[in-house]
Amino acid sequence: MDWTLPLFAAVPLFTAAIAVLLPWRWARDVLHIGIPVAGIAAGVWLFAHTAVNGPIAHNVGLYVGGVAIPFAADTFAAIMIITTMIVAATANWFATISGETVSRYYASLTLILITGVNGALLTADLFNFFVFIEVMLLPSYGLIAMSGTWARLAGGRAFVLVNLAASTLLLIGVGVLYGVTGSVNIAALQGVAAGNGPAVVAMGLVIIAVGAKAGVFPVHTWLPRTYPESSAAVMGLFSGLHTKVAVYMLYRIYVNIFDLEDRWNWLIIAIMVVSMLIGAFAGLAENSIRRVLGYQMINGMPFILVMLAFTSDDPQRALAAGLLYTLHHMITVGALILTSGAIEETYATGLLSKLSGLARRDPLVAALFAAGAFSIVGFPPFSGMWGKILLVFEIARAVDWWAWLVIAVIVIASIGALLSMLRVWREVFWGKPMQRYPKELRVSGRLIAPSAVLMVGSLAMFIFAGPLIDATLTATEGLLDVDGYAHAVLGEDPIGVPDMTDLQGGR
Amino acid sequence: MILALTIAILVTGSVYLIQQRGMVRIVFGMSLLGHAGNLTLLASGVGAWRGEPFPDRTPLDVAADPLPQAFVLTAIVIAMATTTILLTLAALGRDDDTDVPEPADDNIAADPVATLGRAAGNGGK
Amino acid sequence: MNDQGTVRGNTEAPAQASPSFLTFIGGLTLLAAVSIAATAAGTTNLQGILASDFWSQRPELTVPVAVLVAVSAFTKSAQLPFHFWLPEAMAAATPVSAFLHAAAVVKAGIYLLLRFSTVFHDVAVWNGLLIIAGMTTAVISAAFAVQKTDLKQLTAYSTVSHLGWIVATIGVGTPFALAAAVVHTAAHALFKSSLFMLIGVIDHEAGSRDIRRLGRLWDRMPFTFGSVVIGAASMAAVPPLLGFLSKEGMLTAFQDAPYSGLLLFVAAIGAVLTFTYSAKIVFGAFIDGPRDMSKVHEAPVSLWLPAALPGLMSLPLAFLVGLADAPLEAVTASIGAEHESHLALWHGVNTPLLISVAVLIIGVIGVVFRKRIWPALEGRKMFPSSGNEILESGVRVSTLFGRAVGAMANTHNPSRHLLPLVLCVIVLGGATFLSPGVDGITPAPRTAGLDNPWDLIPLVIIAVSVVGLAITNSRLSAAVLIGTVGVGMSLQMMLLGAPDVALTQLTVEALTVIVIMMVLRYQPNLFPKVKSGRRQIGALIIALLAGAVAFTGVHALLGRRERSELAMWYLTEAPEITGGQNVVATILVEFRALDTLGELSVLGMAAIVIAAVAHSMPRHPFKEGTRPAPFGQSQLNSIPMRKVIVLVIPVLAILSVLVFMRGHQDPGGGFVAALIMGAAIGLAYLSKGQDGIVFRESTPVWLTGIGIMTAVGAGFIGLLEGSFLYAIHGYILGEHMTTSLIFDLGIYLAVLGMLTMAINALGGYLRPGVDVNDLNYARIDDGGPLPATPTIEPGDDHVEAFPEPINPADAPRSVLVADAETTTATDKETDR
Repeated sequence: MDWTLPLFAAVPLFTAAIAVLLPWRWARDVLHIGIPVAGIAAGVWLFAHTAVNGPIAHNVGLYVGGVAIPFAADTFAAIMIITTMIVAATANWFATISGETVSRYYASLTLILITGVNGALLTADLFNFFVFIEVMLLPSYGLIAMSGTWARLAGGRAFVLVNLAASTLLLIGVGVLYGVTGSVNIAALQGVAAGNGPAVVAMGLVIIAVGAKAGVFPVHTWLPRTYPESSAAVMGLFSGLHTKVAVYMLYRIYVNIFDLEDRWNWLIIAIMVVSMLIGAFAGLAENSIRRVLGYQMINGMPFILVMLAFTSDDPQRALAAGLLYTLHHMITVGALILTSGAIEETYATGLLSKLSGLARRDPLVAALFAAGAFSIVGFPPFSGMWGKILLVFEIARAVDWWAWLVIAVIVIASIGALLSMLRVWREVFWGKPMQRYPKELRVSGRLIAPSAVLMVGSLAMFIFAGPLIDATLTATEGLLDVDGYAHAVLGEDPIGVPDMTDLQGGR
Repeated sequence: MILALTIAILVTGSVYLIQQRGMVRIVFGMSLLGHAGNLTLLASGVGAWRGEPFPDRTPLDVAADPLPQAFVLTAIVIAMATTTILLTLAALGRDDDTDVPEPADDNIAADPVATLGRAAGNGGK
Repeated sequence: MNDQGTVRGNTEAPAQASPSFLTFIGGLTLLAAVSIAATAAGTTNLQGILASDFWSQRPELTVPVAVLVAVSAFTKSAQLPFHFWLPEAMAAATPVSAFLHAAAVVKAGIYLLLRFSTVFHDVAVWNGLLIIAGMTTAVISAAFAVQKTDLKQLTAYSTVSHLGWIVATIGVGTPFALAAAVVHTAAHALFKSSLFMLIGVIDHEAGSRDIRRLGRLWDRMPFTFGSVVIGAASMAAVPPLLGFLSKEGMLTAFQDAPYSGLLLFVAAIGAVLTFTYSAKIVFGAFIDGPRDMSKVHEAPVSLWLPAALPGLMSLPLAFLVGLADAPLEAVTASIGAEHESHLALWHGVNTPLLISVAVLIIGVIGVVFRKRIWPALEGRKMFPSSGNEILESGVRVSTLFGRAVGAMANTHNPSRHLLPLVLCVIVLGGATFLSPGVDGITPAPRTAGLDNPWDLIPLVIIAVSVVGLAITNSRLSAAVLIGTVGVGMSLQMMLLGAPDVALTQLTVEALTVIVIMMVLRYQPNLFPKVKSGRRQIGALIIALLAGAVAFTGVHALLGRRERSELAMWYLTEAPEITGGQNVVATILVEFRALDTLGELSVLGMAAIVIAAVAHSMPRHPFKEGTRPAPFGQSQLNSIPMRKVIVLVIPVLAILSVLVFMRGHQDPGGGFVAALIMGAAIGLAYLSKGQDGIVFRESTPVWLTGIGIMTAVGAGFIGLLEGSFLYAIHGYILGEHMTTSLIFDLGIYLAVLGMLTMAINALGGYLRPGVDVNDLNYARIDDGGPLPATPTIEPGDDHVEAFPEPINPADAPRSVLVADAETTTATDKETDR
């Protein structure tokens, strides 16, 4: 069944081409919501299949391993596909309701974005990953500038330039890696960056580039000034896709190519600690809802990535905690952004100074925002609680003062996140009712429905935490099965597996 | 070494230009960065072998590495697409000045570029 | 007016937020403590954790976990300094929910302390922390309570005070102390719940719960009065009530504590204050007060009886308390304290009894003189700032910190966002440079023959162009120099043995120049000036560092191995597998066709992106100096070009097809072919007499869509043989064909789509964009809830979009000199 893997990328691409030609808006809407929904189903099938059969891989074009571009899937990739498709479907649904799809190009741009996401999650070749990152980025260049606030052009320019620089850096990194090792196949490169040597430097370039896409300090600065300038539907879409694909690849690279090296623990912890503090507190100085949420996105990344530094004891559980937090973060931040979008599309502003008293006008919106805030801070009964609890548990497993430091910073960062969300709650939902708008102007139920669906999902993640945690454990078991991965991808007698005997030390 | 020097000059120029003011100049800087990346890719194919990779007319012991050349072709074309988009973004808007002051407090609805509020009052048509 | 959104001084909001905030902190500290304990013990089972060995084996863990648990319990049970949420929460809520606060929520913290006493009861830090925090809370809250005039607030503070007593008793840690704490918890639950509800009854009947608005009520509401007296007496530890018994127990426990003398003295002060505020409840509600209460009547039985019942139990239970011995022993045994319980009202004359008697005497005296003492205490601030104010200043500090750390991102200038990326790479390079060899490994020797002196030619071309680019201020010069860099790159690629790549680079460069010129023609002549010299020097330094890193990186990492195994495989095996001699082209369309598929979708989507963005932006007016006057007789001017293209375009078209077909065997392929055709289209556009679109508005979109579908379709055909994008070979009319040719066709169409879209969007007579009224999101003023989208106001430096043409056909300039002089003056106005 592995021949179905390239179809994950091919089918959305084909439908994107159809969508750009269709003159009927309803048809385009059906396509750009229907394809992600189909992607959810396909992802569930893939998860079930790989949970039973282990990692599967397909060499596109059926050439020998190492030469062909491999598409490989394990349970980790499958679970990421499922969740990214959930966010994409909901964000596209919101886009349809909020009127974005009046532009005839919106549907095809999002479908190409989904193509890129699926390709990036399934590919096992670093240059192909670069290409699919570009496939993701190009429609994003359009999406981010075609609707939003007064600053969408400035935001679009900054977005394009930073992401172009990051992907050029990725290209250079992949090129240098090829120059050092002679291969760009992830399975063939297994373990080349463990220890020390020139491959580590090459991978350093790759990590900086992918980290810029993930929004990690110090290359995070573009995120809170580009995403919020676009429209909420687009920001919701991006929040669940771009940064999470980067996180996926960082996990994959660290497990495969770095072989869970301990050497960098101090660096990862230092960077993530600073990132946590910035993400938690910088939102207190922002002046619109989605800018605060932009910093909440930056706040979430280090929680996920710091687990890479705590894999010495029980990597399966540590990475599973990180994965669970990733899934929670995608759903919750998506819901919060779409809630903010519902407010913005109704009242034409997202500024904290211009909104007030919404709790009385729109109690459902207020409830959803409160639920999202609870979830992202870590209160029950939403997914954030399990996410945070498992993270702290797995970090506490390594009982040294690094763990104490990280736990203390997690506590402080959670307090900061709570303060940020409390501030938004106070400014937007409490207070005197706004006089500028007629009393009949309310957020319509259709507009808030996608966000409600996502919060129900977060609630379900809390209630069904048991099966969800089992699923993440299965996923990271698949991720850590590097030998199965290599065997599936490379097959018999692969070409180009590098010989690192003279190029690597400390192993 | 000469190739490394060329790459270094391109990178220097690129980094200098991207810190300048004006979108077009930054776009030129990114273009130079793309060139630097392409040359790095070609250098990774080890420039000691410079025969054109056509096995029927070039002996095997001088033929160049074809894989980085394929990489570079892909990269050039992608860069062309992105440069065109960047130039479009530079052409739109008031001007291409990138030193934009952030307004202190702004009424978003009063800007012709802002698209918020599309769904207001009509239940999201 | 906020620029970055300062915290508004909304005083009641932090109070509303503080319960959740403080208990959240408690939750986090508990999470940290439990996770450390659970992972160290290897189980999450509570009994397992408590019985685990690690507490004795790893004492360095015990103290921190103890502190964390204590802090968590303090936030839940409203101990100082986390106390201030409880009175606020209680005073605002209805009686029943306030009761819940009193009895249920705060007992969670007590439970936590009792549970963990199993392991912590002899940890000195735990003992000290609990005793000090508990007694401080007890005394200070009791003092707060004495000050209050609102009965509910008073009772709320008294709850905090009693919790402090319980916490301090748990802190003593002996089995007796733990039992005493449990007893007082029970006693407190009884009298406090009763008092709360009875105050609610008073409020309901008399209309107020503020002492200053009540009056002589004891004869109007006798049953309520009696119940309150009993409840308050139990709270004040008046014998023979249960409260007296439990307080005696606590005082006895204190005797076993360290510094027991001091502790008992402080406890005595606390007890006096307790007596005082209990008396204040009784006297303030029923006996003293200015108002006339003659219209108030007793509450119905159904109201006061359930409220009074728990408190009334304090009297008989005090005598029947011996029955509780066995359950109490079971309770203390479950938390690991073996204790023999002898609960009784009378234990003989001992120190606690003497203290209690002294407290009663002082208390009664204080009540007698209450009219002088109590008003003096009311309304005074005891601390310089309340808890809410501290919380608010904490929030302010956090906001300042947030603004400071957010400053690095607070800009829309893309250069500032690119800088951290560059700096990271420089740091990486620097770190590698400082390590021995390359990250500890000596690099292999450089391959022989890497440096070819011919490389100097492109080096010089590129170096001169780059220096020119850095220096020049003119946009046109910069565009030309970018072109020369491209030419230099092409030459370098030819020298490196990459003819396909060089061809592609050259044609891409040509077409990019067309797009650049379309954009530049409506921009000012010069780039905007960077005024700060320091910024330029900084930019130069960073650029030089980056260049140095690039040089050392390329020099040290690349060119130090033989050709890779993959390269040799391609060179030897690829022609047999694909039938094509152009290995690079076969890699692109067969071996790594998926890369090419991604690339062509990128190209196609570029067309869509340009359309989407350009059609969603309002058209801005021309700035001064950017609107060149058009040639009036452009049709005449374009004649040479139009004649030339009649010849050139067919040649280019045939060339394009040829290059397309020969791509497999010789340099060529779909991309180069499409770019050649694109050049033809560009020529067609340039030769027009006026700025207009090529083909139709929708052509680029159709080209892109059909192109992508063709390419993906070719891939689907490959599924017949087992894999997406599998190349099927065959012979048609004697020519060797593969499905990769269909794939190439898709590439061809997508490239053309992008080029035509770029020309259509950017090449018009006016600036790119759409009129504001035609935008699909623009609101018109139809009385809807939101204001209409504003149009773009032309400013002072805007010129009109349709200037007078130069040298128009109806007033042509003469070629002869004499006539030229008379028209010089008018020329100066119409020229730009």
